Amino acid sequence: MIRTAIRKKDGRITEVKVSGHAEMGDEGTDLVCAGVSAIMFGICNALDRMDAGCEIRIGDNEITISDKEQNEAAQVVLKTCEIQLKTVEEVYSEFIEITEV
Amino acid sequence: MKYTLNIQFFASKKGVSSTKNGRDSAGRRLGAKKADGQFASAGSIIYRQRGTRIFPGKNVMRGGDDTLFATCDGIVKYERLGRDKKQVSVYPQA
Repeated sequence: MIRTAIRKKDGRITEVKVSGHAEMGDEGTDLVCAGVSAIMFGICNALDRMDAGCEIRIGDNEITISDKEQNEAAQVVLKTCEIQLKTVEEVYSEFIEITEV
Repeated sequence: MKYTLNIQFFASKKGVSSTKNGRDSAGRRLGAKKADGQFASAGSIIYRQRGTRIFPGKNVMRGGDDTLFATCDGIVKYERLGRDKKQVSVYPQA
């Protein structure tokens, strides 16, 4: 199960943390993992390219994005990330779980 | 791009490989069936074993699977046999 924790303050996303294993299939055949990986790496590259003032940490099966500067552009990207992950969760809730903290 | 896509980043790593192990036989419940000082009737099993961890003493015989059993009614006694061996005997009650 991939666990996603979205931290918010006053309706703004301050942190997105995605960790775990989808465990939908073996490595190389895990569809949910592929979808979530594509979303997260895309979001990380977008934030990096836009120089949106976010801190990005990529560990073993874990990606954490923190919006330090509460930059408007970053908020748009992070909200997009949230919606994309929820789109996956809507169909594959058995393999990904999103919680707001 | 700064972050190179790993399309299986959130997959469990080393895949679920099958293992050839994972089988075991049921326990054979070996060991003492009569304690020291306990009454044993003729023919009753005293000790289940593989090989002679314990040797047959007086009024005790060894079966085909090395099981020790009493050949008469009496009290079970575990004793030393030489320097580093053990035996079990059955002493008829007076």
